[in-house]
Amino acid sequence: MSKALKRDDATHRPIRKSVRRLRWFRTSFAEQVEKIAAETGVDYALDDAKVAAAFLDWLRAFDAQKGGAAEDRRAFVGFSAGLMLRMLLKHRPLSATGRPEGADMSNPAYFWPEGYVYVAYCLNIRSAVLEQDFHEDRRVVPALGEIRAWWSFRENVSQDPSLGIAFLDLFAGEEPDWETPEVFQAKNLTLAAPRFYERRVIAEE
Amino acid sequence: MTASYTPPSLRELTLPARDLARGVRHSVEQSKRLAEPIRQALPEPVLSLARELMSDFEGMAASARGLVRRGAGGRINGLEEIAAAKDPGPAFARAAVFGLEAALERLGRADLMASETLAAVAWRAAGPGQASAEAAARLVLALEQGDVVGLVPGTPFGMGPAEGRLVRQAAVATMLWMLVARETPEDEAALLGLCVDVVGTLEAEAAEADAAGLARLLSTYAEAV
Repeated sequence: MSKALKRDDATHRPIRKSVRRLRWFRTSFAEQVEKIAAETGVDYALDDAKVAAAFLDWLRAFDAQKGGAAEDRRAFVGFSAGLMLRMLLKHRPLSATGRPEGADMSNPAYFWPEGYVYVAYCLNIRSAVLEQDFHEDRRVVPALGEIRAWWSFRENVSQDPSLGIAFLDLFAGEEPDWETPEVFQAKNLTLAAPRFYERRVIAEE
Repeated sequence: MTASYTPPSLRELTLPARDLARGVRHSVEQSKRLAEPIRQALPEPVLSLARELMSDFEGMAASARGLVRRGAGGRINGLEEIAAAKDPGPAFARAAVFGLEAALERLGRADLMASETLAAVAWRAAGPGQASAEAAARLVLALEQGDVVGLVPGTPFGMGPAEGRLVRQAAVATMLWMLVARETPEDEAALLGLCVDVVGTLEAEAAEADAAGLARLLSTYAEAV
């Protein structure tokens, strides 16, 4: 995990709030890239303008869907991390510029070096928020190391980056929503529906 | 009745001097860029003479850079601190020129230069007083309308619509950078770079916005940076 995700942030702001700032996002993402590069020997080039574009798209999508019931907060953390993966896959701010000789291509870190960093970063953000706000321990999910899951992931998200949201759920050991991954499904729809109608009535008055 | 005369403060007189130095630095760099293709085709002994001349020019540019840097010491970057400063006009001008020139360089136009004197005039024209997004929006327009950014003298073409769009982008990025809250010591150049990248993603929106639109945009994205 990157240094930025381990510490409590210089401003003592919770990670769920820090991540909504480009300064923090850029630093923590660059640290994640650096750490994986050191561990795998893969060389990466980072495009700052694309990092900013991915972040701003994520923030807009996040703001458009936030504000649910308290019992949906935990699920929304997972969904937000998936949205972040979607925007990283859309803008592709990272390029692998070199792999070590004889790299094992059945290892996801070498099979798709950029995708591996995007997934690792979003899972780390997700885990850090769940640990800080919900006191949940991290867990390692077998799908994360399965090359077949990565083949499918790479092929599917190249056609539709929204599926990255469902794949992040899979890699996190949650039940993915393959049908409408880009729409947050509140756990309790009977509570969500009145909120929706109430807003419409207010807006039409 | 004789008109009263208020002599300019010595602080303000240093602004044109630094602009002069900035002009020398940009002119030398521009001359080098323009002379490069010709220089490669020069025969001896003209080539040696050209080398000596260039070396003299580079000495002048280095002195000019030193003067500009000395003037930039103790720069305040946040709009809130600038508005509260004893002498906010020159403080704003120093930060604005740093911001505009760094932004233009990141946008690939290091040949455009900004004037500290005109930036101080823009501060007065905008009449801000407060560190709000509305004040920052007025300052974007004042920097633009006050021709604070221009071409280095001797450039063989004028400011066109493309330059106008770049000036708007650089001015919005600079004011966004000044508005961002600074809670911990920041790497100011990196922070400004982030602001330029943010404005780069909103180019059409930033290019067409009026004062109210700019204020909304600056307020939203100052939180996000």
